[in-house]
Amino acid sequence: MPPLVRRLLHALGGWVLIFGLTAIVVHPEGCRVPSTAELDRTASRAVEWFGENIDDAGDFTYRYDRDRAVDEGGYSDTRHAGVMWSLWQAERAGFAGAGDIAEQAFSRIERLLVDTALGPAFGPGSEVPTGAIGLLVAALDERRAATGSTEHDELLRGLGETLAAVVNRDGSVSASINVASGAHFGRSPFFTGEILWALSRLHLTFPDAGFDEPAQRIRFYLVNDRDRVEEHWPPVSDHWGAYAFETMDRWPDPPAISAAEQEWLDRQLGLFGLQARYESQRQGGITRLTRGPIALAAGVGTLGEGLGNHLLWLDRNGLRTDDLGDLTARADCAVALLVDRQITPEQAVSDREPSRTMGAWFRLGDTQMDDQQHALSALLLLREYRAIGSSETTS
Amino acid sequence: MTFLLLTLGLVVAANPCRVAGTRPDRRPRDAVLVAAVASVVGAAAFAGLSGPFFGAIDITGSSARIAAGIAVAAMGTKDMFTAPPDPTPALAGRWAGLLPIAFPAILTPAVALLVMAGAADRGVVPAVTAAGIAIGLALVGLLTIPERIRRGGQAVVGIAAVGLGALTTLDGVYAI
Repeated sequence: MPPLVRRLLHALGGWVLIFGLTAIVVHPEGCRVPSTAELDRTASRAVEWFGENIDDAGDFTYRYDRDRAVDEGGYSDTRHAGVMWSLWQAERAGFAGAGDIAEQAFSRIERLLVDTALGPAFGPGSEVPTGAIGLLVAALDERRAATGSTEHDELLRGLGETLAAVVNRDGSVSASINVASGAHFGRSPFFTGEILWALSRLHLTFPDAGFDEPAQRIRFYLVNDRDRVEEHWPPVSDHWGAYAFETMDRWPDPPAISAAEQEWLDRQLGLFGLQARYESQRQGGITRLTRGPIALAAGVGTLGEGLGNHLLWLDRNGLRTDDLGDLTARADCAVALLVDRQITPEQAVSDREPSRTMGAWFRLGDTQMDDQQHALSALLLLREYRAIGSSETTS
Repeated sequence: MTFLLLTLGLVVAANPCRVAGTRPDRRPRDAVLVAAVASVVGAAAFAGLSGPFFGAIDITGSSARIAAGIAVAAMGTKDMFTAPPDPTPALAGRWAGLLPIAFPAILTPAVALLVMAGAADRGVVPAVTAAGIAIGLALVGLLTIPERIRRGGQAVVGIAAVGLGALTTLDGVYAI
């Protein structure tokens, strides 16, 4: 072989090697833009799953194994309240019947309401999780918005006062309350954002009740201190914080965005975007070896929730206009993954218990009710963003 | 990705000390002229093809930066441990500017991926401008860097390429 040709081939071999190396690290991203009809259909099926998987006592099927057709038991009151929030969100978005399921789920709340030294709370046992109270506030407040009913206003205010009492001086939020003593303690990566969101909503609903002050304290802590003090690394991918920022932006006197909040927002948007890109690379085949199995639908749903909420308030204010295209693409991507991964009626028909599987999302054979909850909320948020923005896709 | 990071990344990816190894013994200035034109045209082609290429293989601009950063770091690692290339075999006369100067010395896969990633992020014109700066420096290096410091210089620039490749990758990781 002539030396010049050998040199050329050697160089081309180097190109193949480098491109091969990068292909191991960066895979094609199976992203697409789901149509609004797909969002509606997928959300309807998720609501249907909740309707099929709630018992007379108002409890949902918590975890289900599709392969063995076994209800695996367990329960989380925080997730129960989260499901109620999503169902009221669906009802408000026009999915008739979702509110009825949420009303049925309220039976569990009535059963487990307790009076603590700090005020009303919710949960079994001697200690109750504050995150459950936060999401219950969000659910009941959304019910109020969806139905116009003020039936639970007294409870809402009471729960809000309980939440305000677990906000510490530095803005950190206690994760648990001792029912008997009212002592509150512990931290949770997610409860801080949940309670910030709950108090933010309460300030919108009851503007003179003073819920804005503890909310502002939490917001400062969440942005400036939370990840460092609570030693979260990587930083918490905070979809609840995104809900809170979207809500606070609708306050009559929304807080100005500080430099620290801009930095926090940069990190958050990057985290959501990276995770959406990574998850979209999980397309079976060889990617099972390089990327592992698909993430929980709950996890993918939180990406859609985080992105959807930030899109709503950034777009509303004309902020980060250079990023809105990428943010919309990532939100579309995360939600498209959910659309494509939901069990359809055609797939469920061959299952032993189709009503347990249709409309659900499974990972390694299991589903958990928060898979359906976060996915449903992500679908509804993207739908809401399209309805108000210019990114409508109707095909 | 800032324009500075893009430019520095391209400068170290088109390692001037490595390119200097391909200096022809005779009439190097003629070859440099051909190499300059060929390299800039090549870089412009990569920049122009960036959108269709990444679209066809389903890669976002952010992930393209991860790929480019890895390629730059890999090239840097190679430059740290290998000797500069020889001037021969080469095309005759001024056409040595095409082979081996423009290709494969300047237009490496790292340069190609970084130009495409830069074009996807910042646009074709900034990417070609940055590539032009890097190509210019590489060719100035070809004419001026003495043989005795080429190997050491290539390794030092290779170390910088590993660092800048890592920064480019992180830029893609932290991007939306």
